[in-house]
Amino acid sequence: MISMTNKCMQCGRCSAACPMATEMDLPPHMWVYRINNGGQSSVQQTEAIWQCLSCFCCEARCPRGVKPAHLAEEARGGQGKFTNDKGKLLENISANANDKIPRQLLVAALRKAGEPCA
Amino acid sequence: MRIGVFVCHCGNNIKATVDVALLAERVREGFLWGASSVSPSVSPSVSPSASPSVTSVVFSADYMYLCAEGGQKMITDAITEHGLEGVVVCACSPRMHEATFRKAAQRAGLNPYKLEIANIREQCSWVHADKKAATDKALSLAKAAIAKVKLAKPLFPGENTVEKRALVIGGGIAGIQAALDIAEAGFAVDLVEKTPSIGGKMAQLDKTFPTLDCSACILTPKMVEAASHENITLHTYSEVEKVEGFVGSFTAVIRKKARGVNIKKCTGCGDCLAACPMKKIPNEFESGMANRTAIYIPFAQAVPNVPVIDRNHCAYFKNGKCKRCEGACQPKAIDFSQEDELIAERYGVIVAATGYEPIALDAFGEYGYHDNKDVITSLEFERLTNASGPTGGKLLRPSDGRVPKRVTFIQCVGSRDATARGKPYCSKVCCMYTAKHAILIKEKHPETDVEVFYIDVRTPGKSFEEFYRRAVEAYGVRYIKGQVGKVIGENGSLRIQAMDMLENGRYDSVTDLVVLAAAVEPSADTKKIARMLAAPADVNGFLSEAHPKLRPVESATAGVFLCGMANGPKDIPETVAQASAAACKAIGILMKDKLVTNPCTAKADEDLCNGCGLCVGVCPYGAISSEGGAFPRVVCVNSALCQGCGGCAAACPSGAMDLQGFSHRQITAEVDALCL
Repeated sequence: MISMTNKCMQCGRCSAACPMATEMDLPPHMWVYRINNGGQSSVQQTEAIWQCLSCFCCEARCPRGVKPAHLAEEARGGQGKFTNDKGKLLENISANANDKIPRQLLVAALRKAGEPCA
Repeated sequence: MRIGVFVCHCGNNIKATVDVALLAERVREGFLWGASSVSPSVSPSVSPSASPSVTSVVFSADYMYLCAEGGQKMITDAITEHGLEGVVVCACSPRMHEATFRKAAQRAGLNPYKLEIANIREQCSWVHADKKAATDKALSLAKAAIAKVKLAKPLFPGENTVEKRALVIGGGIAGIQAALDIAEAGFAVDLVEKTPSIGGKMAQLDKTFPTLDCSACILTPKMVEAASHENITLHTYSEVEKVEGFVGSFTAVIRKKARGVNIKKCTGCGDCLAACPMKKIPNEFESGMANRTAIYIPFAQAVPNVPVIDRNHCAYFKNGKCKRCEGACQPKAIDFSQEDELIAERYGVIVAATGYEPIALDAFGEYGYHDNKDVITSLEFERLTNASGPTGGKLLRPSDGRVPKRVTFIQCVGSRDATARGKPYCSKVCCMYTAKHAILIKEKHPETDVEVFYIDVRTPGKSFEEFYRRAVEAYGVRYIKGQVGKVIGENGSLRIQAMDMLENGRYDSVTDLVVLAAAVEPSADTKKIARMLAAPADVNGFLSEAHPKLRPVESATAGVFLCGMANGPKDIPETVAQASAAACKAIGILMKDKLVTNPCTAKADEDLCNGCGLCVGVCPYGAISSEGGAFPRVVCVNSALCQGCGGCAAACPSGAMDLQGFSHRQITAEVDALCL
């Protein structure tokens, strides 16, 4: 994924399209820029990756084929709440869920695992 | 056979990776082509003892730069002194210096096709690091070349005559300029234009950057000159249907579409236009921003100034009734019975100047081009600001005819876009024409706010940067680094949702007019024309130059030249320069009475050919037929048409077809020398 970020030419179309950009501490074009320079860990402490709605508008508009929404998702997944040491998705996600886990992470994990959302 | 081998150092290009002295010595080891003992002496060395019946390398030497005069002299001297019957030059690619060395051989009395190149630079020294291995490989390549030259037959180039007439396809500024330059040199030119008038896209433009001179004012004199030049024949409303032949002797079939108006009788008075009841047809010249009649003259300065009947919209052609134009025409020029006319003409050269179109914006729904009348393309803006345009040059919004208080320009719409909906390249002209548009607005309406959304502003051209800075500094045009995500029509205005990259924040504005700098692409017919001319095109459909630096106006197909946007995005000065260059190259051929043809063409052995005809279908140049041969079904090759690709030789099941200079036996010998 990181190798894809060097296709970005910083036009800003992703952030211009993003419905949440005005709320974010780091709009999509900036997290692409930061991941390109500092890797995925450099965005994991931002609020923005949790504010991303996965609407994929940024990806539809991007003229270079960069996938900001995917990058955000990867950064969220990279926090390891539902993955084991090897980054593999845990079984039985609902059992591991609790109120403190961000809803988006939970929904994404359930989607990926194919479990029904409660 | 007495063979001489010459090894070039190419400075350090070869010498640093290949042991050239050792190579020059080892090529004389004769395990494949008759014995001759290796002498330990330093090269150059000679083994005059070799018997004439045995092929052997009787001379070998290495030299710093063989292509230099001294190097060539070394070759010519050796040919004379040692009676060489074949020469192998171990040096750079044959594309670089094969011609140089073959000419040298010819000067020494050796048939030039008895000289072969072993490419030990591009295919050896440049791509390897290990000196020992590279030297071994260079030796193998040299031995393969020796094996090939051993079987080489002397070849003699033929000649074909040059038809002293040029065909220029496309009547925009590129085609007009090329036609004028060729005509001025004294050669006949046919200028073929698809639309009813010459002039092309430049005729639609208002002013031209960076000098702001009026486009029509500088173009129309050229159009008139082209029309009145004694050496130029205009074929407007015409299309090239078929091209056959080869450099010096092309034949083209041109379809002159039926105008419905006798071009000789018509005075261009325009009475027919006034009489036409079909008045609501979108006007192509006005980019659809105004209407025209079914019988129409595309624009006021059209050349020729003769109307054409648009049969798709004409009431008579649709319903069989009307003919009002005929009644209005005093010189009786209207002719409903006119039919398409096909003419065939021979040409020595062809110039392709097929131009461009802005891309369709269907895939860019976020800008609302199809939903809002006030979202327009840059070409539409040209008409909107043009004194001869639909508003008479007044800047009025298409929706309500008001003067916009704010105009927003969006750059790179589809340009620099690597996805399926855009084009990966920079369209090159947009930055400059947008700065021009911004200045034109500010000149007319200083109070109108102008903002430009850009990714990068690219101004590499004479006086271009100064022009752009003038827009910013003298006219107060606001440039915002960022792109627009969405344009939303709202209460008669347009809401822009954008990103300001330097503020790192959202930039939202309400504007009255949005102008989209749509990417350019080759005109729709470029592909068809390219196929007809057997002229290669690149991945984006632009016609390819034979060499991007050294042969920028030639197609890889001999006798076909390129200019203008057909070859890639470029502005007017570049287009004109390229058109003149293409004309110059074309004149270079037209000046000659005869052209020397490459003798490395295919040849069929009539005794072996079984007449299956596989080669006929394979040949991309239509050079093979069963006519003109000694036997009825046996094929023969027209050596003037054959380009020496070798497709037929590979396809022939009976081995009858062979490529001279690259015969089956030679290729097999090369492979054997490499592998055995």
